Amino acid sequence: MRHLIYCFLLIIGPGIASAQKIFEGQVVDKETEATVPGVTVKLLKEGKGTQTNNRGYYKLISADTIANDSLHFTSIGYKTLRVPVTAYQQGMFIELEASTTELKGVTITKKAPRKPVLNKFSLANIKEYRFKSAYGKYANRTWPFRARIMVAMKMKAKHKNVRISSINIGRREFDENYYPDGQLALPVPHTRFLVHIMSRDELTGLPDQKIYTKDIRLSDNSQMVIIDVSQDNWTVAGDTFFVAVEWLRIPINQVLQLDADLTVSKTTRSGEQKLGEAPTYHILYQPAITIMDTKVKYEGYKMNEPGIWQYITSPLAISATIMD
Amino acid sequence: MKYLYFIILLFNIPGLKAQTVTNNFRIVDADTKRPIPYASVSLPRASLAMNTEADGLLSIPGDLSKMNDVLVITAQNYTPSVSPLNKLSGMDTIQLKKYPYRPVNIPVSSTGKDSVLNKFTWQDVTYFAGVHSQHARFEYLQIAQQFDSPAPGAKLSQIFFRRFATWGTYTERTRFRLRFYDIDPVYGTPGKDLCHEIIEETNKDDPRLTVNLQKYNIIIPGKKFFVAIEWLRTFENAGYAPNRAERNLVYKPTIGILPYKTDKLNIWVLNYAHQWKPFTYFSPYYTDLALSATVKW
Repeated sequence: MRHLIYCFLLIIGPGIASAQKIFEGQVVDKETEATVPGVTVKLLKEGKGTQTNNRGYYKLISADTIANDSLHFTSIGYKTLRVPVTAYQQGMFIELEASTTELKGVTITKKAPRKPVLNKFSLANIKEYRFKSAYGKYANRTWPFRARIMVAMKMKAKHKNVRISSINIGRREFDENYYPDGQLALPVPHTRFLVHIMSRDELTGLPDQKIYTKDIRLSDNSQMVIIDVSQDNWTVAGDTFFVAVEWLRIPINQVLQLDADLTVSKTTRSGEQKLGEAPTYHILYQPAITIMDTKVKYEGYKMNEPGIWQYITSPLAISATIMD
Repeated sequence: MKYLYFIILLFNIPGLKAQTVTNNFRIVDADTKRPIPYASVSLPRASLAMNTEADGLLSIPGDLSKMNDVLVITAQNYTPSVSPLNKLSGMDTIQLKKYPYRPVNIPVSSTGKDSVLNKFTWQDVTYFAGVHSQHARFEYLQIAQQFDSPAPGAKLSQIFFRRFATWGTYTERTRFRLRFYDIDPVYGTPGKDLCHEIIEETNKDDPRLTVNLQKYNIIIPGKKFFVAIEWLRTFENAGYAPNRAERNLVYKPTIGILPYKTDKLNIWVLNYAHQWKPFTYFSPYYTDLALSATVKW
């Protein structure tokens, strides 16, 4: 019988610790789905608190979680949100609703102008759903994707001379073989990768030349990564281009994965073989990009061998926001 | 009686392809003639290393007279033995000489203070050393963390480290040894042993390990010292990386790397030639093991 255990590093501890618990995730604007920095996050009864970083990400390590405690999220311009710790789910998005302030008859609402988004996806497309399945206690509708070298998603705008203001990428953990005991794995938080804007080869329709490149370094487990390039003057002459993610196979991106199986553990002098369990360690490389929960068709290509692009049908969470 | 075979030598050393002979050795104490358990045996040129089992027996198949490698045998409290393989032909015993252990002769610091050196939050540890990666093979006998003690004469009372362990049906059962070193005054590497007792630990599946060292009376003479994990390269500790193949053997436990950067690299590894080298795999990002030490001073 084969035992297959996929295990990722960050959750090993919390899975075993008794009362210690890690609360982490991203806080977003309920309407715009933009991440919200500077939100105060507090475990009310335990008294521990932190603030979200510039990606709206927070992480709180609770030394001894109180069963009826709750997480409070407060920020100027938003209504305070209370989430009981019993309702918290690993990596969940916290959606804050903008508050409305009335000053002498003038109503001020927090509302940003919308920009066109190519290959748009929402939080609903990338968040991890947990539902009971026929095979285990829980399953997911979103999946991780990784290529050996690169992946590129085709973007088509309504007009030429497209100026890109931001790239959005949905990330998630590497729990490819979901372990049915309930606890999800998270990526190693320190991640570095390259984002490219690539032209389209007119003959083959494949990604061609790298036009722009940005080196991205993350130090948290945020699942919605918004890369602001509005100051970089990324302008594409035509109306079609690719947004590509290139993996860097460097130690900082390593995620250790374990596969345990029966193997010959010993051969005696008489030739008798004894069986035992032995681990096989695999190293995966961050990031894992979310394969979305959507039926919308996207055109994308992966590169697992240098110079060879292969068509993929997976709808990857990579979008580009452009100037109108 | 248990025998240890260097079967994988077949793939690495010329002259073994048509081997018909098996050379059996017993590694013994030169004075008592008793076997030395779990002696570390390595062949630097072939990049192979194993430990003998409790009976100190070692078997090498092939015609030793045609082999060009050297056999390095080390054991705690013994002077290392380095012998060309072709000089071992016809022998059946390899004797290691015990070196005299001289306890540290320094006044013990007694301010009554405790300090935890290289303190860390274990939940932050997400990187591990001990497996081969795509770019580098992990071929080391020991891995050590360098510490700066608050005062000469401090006593090492406890260590704590993070390792890779899982939950579920498979457990990362492991057995390993702990070593403690003074600094080598010339090279700045781990030098003399600070403890002559063999400290061997076993563990089933804990990702966090605490070892109380009070009873060993380990006194740190200067302000720098090293704590090392010595892998027992035995069948029970063996695993594979990245795939199941003899050349891809690795040994438990894997050791956590702190995801922080300090101003100097404090991780050292002992290679198959028994030389201490800085562990640069995670450089320049990470500089320390997930291993803390508590000292009384």
